[in-house]
Amino acid sequence: MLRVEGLWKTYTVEGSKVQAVKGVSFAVERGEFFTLLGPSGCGKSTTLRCVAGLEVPEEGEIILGERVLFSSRRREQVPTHQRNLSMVFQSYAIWPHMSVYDNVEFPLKIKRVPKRKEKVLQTLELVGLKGLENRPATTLSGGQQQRVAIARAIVKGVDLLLFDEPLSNLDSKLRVQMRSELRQLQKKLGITSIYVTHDQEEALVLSDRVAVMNNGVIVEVGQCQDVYLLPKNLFTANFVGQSNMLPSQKVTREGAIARVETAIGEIVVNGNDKQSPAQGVVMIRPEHVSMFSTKEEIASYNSNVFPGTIVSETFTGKLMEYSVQVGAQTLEIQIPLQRGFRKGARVYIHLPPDRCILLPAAGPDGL
Amino acid sequence: MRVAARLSSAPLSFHLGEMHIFAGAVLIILGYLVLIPLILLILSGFKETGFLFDPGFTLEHFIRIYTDRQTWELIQYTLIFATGSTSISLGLGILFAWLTERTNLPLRSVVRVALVLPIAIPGVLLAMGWVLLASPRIGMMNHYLMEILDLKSPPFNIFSLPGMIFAQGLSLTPTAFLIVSPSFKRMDPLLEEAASIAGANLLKTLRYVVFPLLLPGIFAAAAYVFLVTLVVFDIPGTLGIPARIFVFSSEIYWSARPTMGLPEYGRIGALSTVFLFTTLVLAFFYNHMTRRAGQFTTVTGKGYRPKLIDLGKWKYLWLAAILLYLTLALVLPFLSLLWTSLIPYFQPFSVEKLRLISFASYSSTLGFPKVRLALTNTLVVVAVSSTVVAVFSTLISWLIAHSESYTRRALDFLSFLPMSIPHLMLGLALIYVYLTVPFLPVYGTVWILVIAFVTTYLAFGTRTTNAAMFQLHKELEEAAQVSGASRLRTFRSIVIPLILPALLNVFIWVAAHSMRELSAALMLRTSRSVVISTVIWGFWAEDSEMNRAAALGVIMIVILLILTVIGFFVVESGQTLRIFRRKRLNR
Repeated sequence: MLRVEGLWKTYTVEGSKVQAVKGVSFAVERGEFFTLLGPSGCGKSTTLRCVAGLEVPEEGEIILGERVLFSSRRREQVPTHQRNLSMVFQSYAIWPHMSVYDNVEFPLKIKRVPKRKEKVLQTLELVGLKGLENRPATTLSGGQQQRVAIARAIVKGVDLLLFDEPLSNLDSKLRVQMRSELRQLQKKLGITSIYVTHDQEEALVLSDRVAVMNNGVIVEVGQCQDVYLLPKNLFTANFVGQSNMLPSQKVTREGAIARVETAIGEIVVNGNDKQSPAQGVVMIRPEHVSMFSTKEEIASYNSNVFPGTIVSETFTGKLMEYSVQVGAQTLEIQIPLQRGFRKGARVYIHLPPDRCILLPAAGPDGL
Repeated sequence: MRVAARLSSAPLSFHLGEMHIFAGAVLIILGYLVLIPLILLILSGFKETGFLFDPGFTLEHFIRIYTDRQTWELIQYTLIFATGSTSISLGLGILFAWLTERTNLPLRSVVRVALVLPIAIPGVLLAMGWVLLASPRIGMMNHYLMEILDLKSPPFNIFSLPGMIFAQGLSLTPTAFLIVSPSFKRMDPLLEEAASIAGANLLKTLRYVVFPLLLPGIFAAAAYVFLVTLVVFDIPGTLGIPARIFVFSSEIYWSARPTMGLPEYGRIGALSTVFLFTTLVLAFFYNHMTRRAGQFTTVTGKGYRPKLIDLGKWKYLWLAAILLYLTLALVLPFLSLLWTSLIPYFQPFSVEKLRLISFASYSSTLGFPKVRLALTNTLVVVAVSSTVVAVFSTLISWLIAHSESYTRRALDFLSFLPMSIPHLMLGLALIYVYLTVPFLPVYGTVWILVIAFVTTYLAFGTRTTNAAMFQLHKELEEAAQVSGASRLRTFRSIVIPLILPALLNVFIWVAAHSMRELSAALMLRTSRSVVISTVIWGFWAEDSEMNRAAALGVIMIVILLILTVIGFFVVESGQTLRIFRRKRLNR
């Protein structure tokens, strides 16, 4: 549906050039919800704005369906207003001099669509703003304004819907509610969507596929589960969710498993394939580590068991967070609240081999 | 490797073609309006006769000026006049801003509007009003005081340097007040609270937090008012010339209209260049300080009320002081003009003379063909200049907001530059331009006035529309583009409605100022291009027909008062709208 090839974009900031996007390529399937996830300044918004035509890249190709929106090679560029896409902005960008109705009607008015009223009211109902059409747009709450922005984006029936951190200005409760509504709406309408966010949870909940970006490049693309459970590099592992990192000293391969020497001892890693590196880092998520107080409880495990001491505990509501000192390393562990685990207590931890991932060590560019 | 390749490849420019052409066209027009007169004016100082196409260059004018003792006297008088009147208006402006924004002064909201009203009296009419009150020969105040106190000689002489400073100080106080008061109004009280939480007492809070935050606003007002007083003509022309007290502006006027022979254009050009340098520096200092002040006055959009200082029993005294100012700057001069316009020949006000009152001066003055022509001309000049400035400023600001660094800087610089060109000099420069380059036959018509006013008021216009444009979140425009609207349609449906208050403000301000403008209009005056302000000046200074001048003056003040009040409320409504918009966007 959408194909972006070799996109490069440089900004000039006070005389010096800043490369925001350095050769980004990706493809989005029809009806797919695709997310660009990354820290601020990683080039995700710039990429999105290039797709919208609000920024002009120096190089690359953007093809929507059969239509070339931008091609540096063919020196072609379709202006934003002819691209037949929509965008939902971080600031909502609701026009303050218009009513709710006028805001949503605007794209239809530009296209000179007949029988607009019916369409506008239908769309407002769809986003849950029925009956508010005559209100001045500025008298609405933040969440309602965001709904107006979404209604305005979907009313004319576009090929591609772009979201630029649309939920980041909402408070956390509303954000959770809006993101599930957004997900349902997108599935219902089946509009191909690209979503930009720095919030990994938002990305995982909403998307079909996620592209993790850093420093102007896409470091990894994949299904949400894969990106979280089986990250392919250190950056993804660190940025998407929390993680414990244990540098390897020596890796021995035995069929489907790998034995990795680390500072705390030997760790067995499952799912060893030929691509897994000879040197690297063992990564495990805090919630995948289990913790026991007696030696009997761990008798059934024949590997990946380490004794340690709890050095700190933090109550976060849903879960307890423990820091456990194992040798010279400190591991973060998240488990439901249990009695008996106190600061200073001697414990045993187990790292399930299925959940241990062997990642290549960071290269010179942090990947 | 790949990175290097990217940087060296030629940038793609096909996407911005139309924008470039448009920006280029606007730059050419701006350059033509602003740079050509300026360059010609400066060059004329190096020419024997002052005319550009004369052969050869000479430094003679500069040498003569700098060796002339008169020049130094002129500079001295100009500086005393400018410093004195700046001190008065700045002092009063700061005091009034503090009283109306940060204290519990009674009737604050009324006072705030009332303090803007004196702007409606053009300097020349204020000076005329004060001549009628404090001239040694005919002044009504002198007359009464001599009678009551049995004095031998008149106590006041308005035709003096102190008299000029006094009148100019009164005239510019509202301007200083308007520039300073946003700094007082919008200073976030949280900053003061934070300082006191950090352990600072009131005095330390004032010294380390409040005062530094106010300084940019005060410096901006000082630079602007000083710039105006260095080059202003109205009051020094009306009060100084009769007493042979010349400052820079009246000297230029005097030399440009000699009783015999050709004007000494070369000498004037050389003299102007000296002053131009100073005004240029002041204008850019002002611009810089305004920006600083803008950065400091953060509009948070929260409905806060700054902590108000309790004036206690003194508050009525302060109110009385403000009323005294308004009496001196507005009520007395206006009433003396009104009285003069209603009686057949000038005499001090008394109750017995009330029976002499008639509108005869009004009807006979308005019957003059010259006055009729001036009225029509004024209408044309005002309507065209204000419309053109409003439209052109909007376009320039839009381009500034949407173009890359160099274009943006050039547009900003060129549109601001006219602020540093004194009106008299611009008038003079336009004479050079349209006498030397006669491809636009506008010399002697009202159109040369339109060119002068558009050029000079673009500085104000673009400052105002720039501020409005930068308040607009760029996503508001982008949302329209992704909705399918072209750039033009976005401009029409989104940008224009949202900056409408600023646009109206520019329109009204330019209308009011081009109606009252005297200096450039006098320089460019011919029998065909008379306007109301020059006709008033003619009646007063040249024909000694005081009651006719007063009658036209009263009409003009009434119109300007109405425009000022409308303008004030347009600005107020625009501000509430902007604050509102910000708040919503920030949620």
